[in-house]
Amino acid sequence: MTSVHVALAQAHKSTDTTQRLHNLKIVEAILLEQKQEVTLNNIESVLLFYTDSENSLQLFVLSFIEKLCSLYVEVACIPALQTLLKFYNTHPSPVLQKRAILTLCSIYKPIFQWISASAKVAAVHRKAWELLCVLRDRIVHLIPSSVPEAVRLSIYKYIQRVILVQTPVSFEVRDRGASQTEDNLNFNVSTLPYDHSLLSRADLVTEANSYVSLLINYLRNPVSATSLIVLTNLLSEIARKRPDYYLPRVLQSLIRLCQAFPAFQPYQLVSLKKQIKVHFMALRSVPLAKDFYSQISAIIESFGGNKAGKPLYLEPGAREKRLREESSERLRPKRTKPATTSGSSAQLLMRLDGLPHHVIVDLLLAHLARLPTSMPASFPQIMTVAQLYTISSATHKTERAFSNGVQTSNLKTHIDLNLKCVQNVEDSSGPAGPARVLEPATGADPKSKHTPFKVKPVPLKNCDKLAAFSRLLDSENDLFLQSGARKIRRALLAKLAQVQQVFEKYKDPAHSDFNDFTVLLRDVLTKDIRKHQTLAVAWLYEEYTSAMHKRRFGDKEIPTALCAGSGFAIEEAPTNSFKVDINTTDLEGAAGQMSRGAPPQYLERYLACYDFIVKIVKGIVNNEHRETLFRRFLLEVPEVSIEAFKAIEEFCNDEYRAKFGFESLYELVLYRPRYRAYSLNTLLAFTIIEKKLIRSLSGQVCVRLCAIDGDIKAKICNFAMKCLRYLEREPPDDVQEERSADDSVEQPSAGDAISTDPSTQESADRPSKRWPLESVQAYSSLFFALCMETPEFLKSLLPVYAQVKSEVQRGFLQAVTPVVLNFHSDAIFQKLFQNAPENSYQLLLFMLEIYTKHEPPSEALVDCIQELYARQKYPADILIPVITKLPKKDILSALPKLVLLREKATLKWMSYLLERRYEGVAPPISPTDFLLAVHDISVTQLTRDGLRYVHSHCFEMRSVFTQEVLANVIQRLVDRSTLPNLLMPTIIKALLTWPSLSNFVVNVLRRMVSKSIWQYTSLYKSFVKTCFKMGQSGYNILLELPPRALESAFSLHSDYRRTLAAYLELHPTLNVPESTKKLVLES
Amino acid sequence: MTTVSDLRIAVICSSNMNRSMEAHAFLAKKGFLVQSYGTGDKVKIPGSAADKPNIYDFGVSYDEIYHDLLNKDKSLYTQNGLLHTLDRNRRIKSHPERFQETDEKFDILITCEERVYDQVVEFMETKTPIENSIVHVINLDIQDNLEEATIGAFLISDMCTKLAQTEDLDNDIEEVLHNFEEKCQRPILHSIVFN
Repeated sequence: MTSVHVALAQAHKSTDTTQRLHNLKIVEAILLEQKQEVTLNNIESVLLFYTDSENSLQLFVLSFIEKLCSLYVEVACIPALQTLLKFYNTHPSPVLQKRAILTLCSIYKPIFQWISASAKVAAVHRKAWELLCVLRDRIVHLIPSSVPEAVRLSIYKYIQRVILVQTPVSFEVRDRGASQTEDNLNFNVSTLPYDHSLLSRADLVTEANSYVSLLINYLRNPVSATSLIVLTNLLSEIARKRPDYYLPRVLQSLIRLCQAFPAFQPYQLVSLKKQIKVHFMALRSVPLAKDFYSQISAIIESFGGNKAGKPLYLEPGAREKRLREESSERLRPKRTKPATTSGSSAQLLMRLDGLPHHVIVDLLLAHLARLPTSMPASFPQIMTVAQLYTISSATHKTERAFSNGVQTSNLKTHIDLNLKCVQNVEDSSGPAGPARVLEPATGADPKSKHTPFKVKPVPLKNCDKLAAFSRLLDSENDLFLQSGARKIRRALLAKLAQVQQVFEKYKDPAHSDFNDFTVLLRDVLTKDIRKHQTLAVAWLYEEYTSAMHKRRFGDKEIPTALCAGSGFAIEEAPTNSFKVDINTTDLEGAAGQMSRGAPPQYLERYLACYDFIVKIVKGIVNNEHRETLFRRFLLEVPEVSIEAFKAIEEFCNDEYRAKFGFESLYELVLYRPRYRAYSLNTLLAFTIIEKKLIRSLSGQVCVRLCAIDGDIKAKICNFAMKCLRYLEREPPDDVQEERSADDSVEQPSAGDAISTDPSTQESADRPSKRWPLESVQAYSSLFFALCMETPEFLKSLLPVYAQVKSEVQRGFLQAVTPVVLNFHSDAIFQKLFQNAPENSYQLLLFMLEIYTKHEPPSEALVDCIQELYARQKYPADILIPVITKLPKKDILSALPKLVLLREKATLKWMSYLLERRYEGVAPPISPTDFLLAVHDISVTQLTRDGLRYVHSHCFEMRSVFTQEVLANVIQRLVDRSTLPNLLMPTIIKALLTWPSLSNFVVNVLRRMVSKSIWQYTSLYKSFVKTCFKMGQSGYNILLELPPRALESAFSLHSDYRRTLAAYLELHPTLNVPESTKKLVLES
Repeated sequence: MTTVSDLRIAVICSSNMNRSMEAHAFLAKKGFLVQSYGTGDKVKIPGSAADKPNIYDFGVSYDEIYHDLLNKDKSLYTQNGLLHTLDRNRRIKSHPERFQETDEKFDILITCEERVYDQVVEFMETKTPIENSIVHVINLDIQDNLEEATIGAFLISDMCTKLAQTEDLDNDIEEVLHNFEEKCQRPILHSIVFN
């Protein structure tokens, strides 16, 4: 402890940077060597040096963090992450920034591993994860800004690291055994417990997936050639290390890049092409890349392909070509054997291709017969034999080596190893059936160039092959780690399982036990397919390859030189007889009646094996909710059967597994182009079923697919449109329903006018021909799901809307609401309004209304609407949603049209106009101005009712039209030179609404006398009436009228004169002109 | 001797005999932190005939090779300059080194042949990065003879000097290489991998 303290103290004291660095290195050495010295205090004391202005000290701190976290992550991670965060806040120089990112890149995995490995999540884990996330987000968000190139490259690297850490190790990588890197061996997110309270595997993978998308996006829009080269490197590594998650996507993006390279310097382009070629060569050997093989090969060839790279998967014809080349190479005299770096398993497999089935089986059996109780590490010896065999001159040597092996194992009297068939390898045209091969080797074959090895047949009782097989299968995983030859071994086992048909064909009793091996293999797979999954895949390939040969050569003898032996070769793709072309599929067909042809005869055996495996893995999905295996048998097998699709359909129909089912279809569409049409049809069929949840899940998957591929998008959109247009037809009998109370849907407000449309009215009158709401939702759900992502698609809805029945229209109006609420801007409306069919106006209005409910319309939209209105393309309704944003003068000019609208619409626009609609946006017109404007509208027969309604409603809006407002309005109206027609109704209603205005009204009435109110015939009657209603104050006003006017008032009602006479008698002192008095009292 | 730059440089050819060693000597003299390597399986040097090369393992020292050739045909190997080359090499380091077997980390890997460049890039791609630091792989085609090796070493030295003068190599390398390619009129390949 003392020495750490002393060194730290000296580092603090010293002013010389070199001395300080020296002391810090001493502290580092002590801390890294002695665990007891690693305390929080000591760590923090060292980390504090990040504040030093010297670059060398800051770099030291970063390197210290890296070393410390790799050894003592639990103590060091929090201070380290906090230091890095503070470090970022100091805005370091690009060099330091780059170094800090790479430091974080190095410590990301140990910290993540530590958090994920903890069974009980403590506060420290949470904090570490939070810090890690904060740092990660900060770094990732740096890219769009103009960071220096070096920093950008480091960020790319960091993102790649995050992706690799957060994605489970792929099957393929897991299978590589000896070649696994520390990256995969030490940590695997797939070991993360499902119930981990802090980390969710699904979330981590989703996040990683989004980062891959980010990198791919940068690949599509590269900033520089350097960036592009780094991105191709990083993505390629991701694809190699996590193929079943990212390989197809990465390949697609690389292929797309190759189709159109950005404009760079020539040397940069050459370098880039070289780099991509290297990646393609590495990636094409991964099983998942199978479907991209032809594209990759074409690109490699165009870049100047190199024959050294041998893929595991071969395209039609390529295999034969290669074998021909190899045999011609063999015949050529060899000068010196070129030194090879290592005998890769792929090369060995290729060499085994030259051997006929039965020879390999014999070789294997001979070896198996000598098996000890546990699998020997010497298994690869068999490969040596096979390798030797590739050179014809070594055939004899091979025989000798083998016979020696068999003799020393005390089996020489039992095993028949007649290897004279080896000649047939070079003579592919000659028959090489087992009948000839397995004939008892009683003597040398005179035609043979080599001495056959003579041994007697082996009785089963002495050579317990099944036990050997059993041991072989059981010890699979142990062996793989030791021998490093598992790929070859699996290929051989797969061949052993497949070769059954060869012996069945020749009815050879000596090899009847091969059937037993297949049975045994099936048992083993049934018991634990997870342990033997790769073997199962290899077996399928073996069966498939054999089937392809059978197809090509029919019943003819299988040419030995062309024997598929690797277990991985692929010939021509079989015709997918159950493919359905989406373009020609009728809707009913897509809804679940897709035609499925019988599988081709030659694939019968393959499909039997595949269906057997599918059955097992389907059981695992159902019982254990483990889905990865099933996924593998969809993506990695050569041919997917109808049974597998049926299984997927079952998953899709099950609400608990539907998500997995749709994910499977998603991957099949994307990653298995051969099954794209069929998978897409299956997926689309689910988008129109009545189960809401399943329908919605399938819709989501369709939307995701649309975002990825243009062709797929076109097909999905086409289907969605077909479904939509289907609703234009009469409902079929099975979905047609009588009109019932249950299916009446509350109609959205803007849809009120639907029933006023004569065409729809007509259809609504026919109760027996109605679409049930469920069916409307089912057939339109995919369309609206697509619209959520691509609002422009709504354009296609308008003509359909104009054609369908009212109940369908109502269904559309319901469904369109979430779509409109999802709009990011209202620019779409401008497009929709252009060329919209006439009958779709209500839909547009409804959508506009939904949108403007929460968001004020933009100026552009308001201009557009105004223009449309000005061109008299649409009625005044169209102004309602945007009325709050209209200029005052436009509102006033539109008012005469607005008052003509229906009552409901009137209520709406008045509310929008006069009440505060949006937070912080004032109404465009004041209530006073509005009411004054209403008085200016000329009352005609057309406007009377509407005007009356608007006028009355104003007085119902007490919060808007307060007594002050009304007093102001009345005052201004009376001040006018000409009194408007609505003045008296306004005064009367104001008095009724606000009785406290009576004094004000009396004054107004008095002023009206001065304005010769009796000259306005339409107003005078109301005036008189109001005066009488006002009592004494009103009588006084009436007595102020000239006698002639008063006389005409008396003619309105007989009681008026009497009432005034009584009033005068009671108040004889009133100052009333004599003539008036005389007029009143004369009766 | 003080170094002119912190950049860790490796010059790589096929046999670590002529081109890489010439550049190694040149750069070391200029004060760069430099190493040299070969990528082949064996060290191959010309023999008495085109189809009779002298082949050695990478572990065999320059000194041993020198004496072997001296014994085989002194006049031939003196005349074709091999003994001189070996003599120079043994004064720089003890034996040829294979790039794929080293654990050293570098900032720049300079290859002298396209095939070697491919091998280096492929090898670096398959290696799991430890430091995660950026490595620039640059190829400059140099014919495998004494004259071209000398010119090549000069060009490499010129390029390294320019790279060393950059403020941040990763930022400026594109520009430097573009200018260099224009100046020397030789095709260049450039890639980036991680240590």
